[in-house]
Amino acid sequence: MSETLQALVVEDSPTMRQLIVFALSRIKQLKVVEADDGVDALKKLSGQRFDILITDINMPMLDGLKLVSMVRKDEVHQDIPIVIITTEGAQEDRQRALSLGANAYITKPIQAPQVISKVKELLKLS
Amino acid sequence: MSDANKKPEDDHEDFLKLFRRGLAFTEELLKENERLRYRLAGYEAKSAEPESTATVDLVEKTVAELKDRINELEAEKAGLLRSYTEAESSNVDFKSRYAEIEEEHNNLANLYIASFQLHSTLVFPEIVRVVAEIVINFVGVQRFAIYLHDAAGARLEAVFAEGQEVSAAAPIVLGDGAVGAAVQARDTFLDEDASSDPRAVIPLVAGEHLVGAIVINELLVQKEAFSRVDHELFHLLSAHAATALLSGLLRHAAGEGAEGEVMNLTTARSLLQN
Repeated sequence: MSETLQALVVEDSPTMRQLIVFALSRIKQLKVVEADDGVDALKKLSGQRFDILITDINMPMLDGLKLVSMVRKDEVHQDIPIVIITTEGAQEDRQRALSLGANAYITKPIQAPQVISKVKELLKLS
Repeated sequence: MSDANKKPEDDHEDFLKLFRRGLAFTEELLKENERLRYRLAGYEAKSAEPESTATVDLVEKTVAELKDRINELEAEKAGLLRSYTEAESSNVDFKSRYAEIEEEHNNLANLYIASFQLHSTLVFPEIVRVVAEIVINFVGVQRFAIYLHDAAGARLEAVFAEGQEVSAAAPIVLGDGAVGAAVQARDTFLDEDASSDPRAVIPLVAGEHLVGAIVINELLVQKEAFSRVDHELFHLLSAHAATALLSGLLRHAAGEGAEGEVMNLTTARSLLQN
């Protein structure tokens, strides 16, 4: 696949966001757009089409759970693969996100190979 | 000549002719029989006699050549197996080396991001938040506290905590116990025993000044032990978090907008000349 794919990373922590963006920069076919929180993510989703969404759950303004729910109702992005970032202890949030339509989850502390592998799997990249 | 005119001498002549033809045919059969018997005897004799020396030599030579060829092929096969084993071993080495480089790359990226974020702001609360994020997300810590040095009281008190109340984090008295002694000596204290509390204490030192310490009480449930990059992160936090926190406090002391006042080229040049 040679076409450029668009990824949206939604994370309020600049440190975590930079870590995820760094990991995704290793996937050559991917162009990454960053959003500070759920509201910022919705604005960016309304402006362009994305191929994958990676989002934290705990965020101010609009959290990851609400974002997943709204994206699944959006005509343009209802089929987009969604990866959520959770902590190992937050099993309820994780189950809730998966039941709302998230496709996969990554637990903190995040390791770059884990992020790369999950995103490649969902985008069916070699 | 009609039968009525046939004489007895004529019958006799016919008979003799027939007899001679029969005799000739019989002789011919006997000759053929003899010839065939002779050929058969020849074949029998030939099959009964032992193989000639030349034939035996040829067979032995061929067998020897085949044995040599088998030995050559066996040697070639052993060589190929050896090469295959060596290639396989090299492949394992390359894979292992690749994994090491990949891990090193990720570790360096983590250190770069941590360092970048620590120095991305001069606002004290934001610096504390960045330090906390590094401890939580990079190291994988469940419960910890950030302490600052109260120079007047020769002790450190918690100013931020995660997984516990700030008030629950007991002060560290310099020189008191293993933790107090490690902080006073500016040495990182580590305890690999999962049941220990604290698991780690990282003194934050800017130049000669003890700025504070990070006390790690409990790791995330999925994290069993500190990794090599954790030690590197502790080393980085010890110096960079200290200078970042001190810069934040100095900037606050200098007042909002102090950057504009201190950004004086004349002062900078005079400092460089000294």
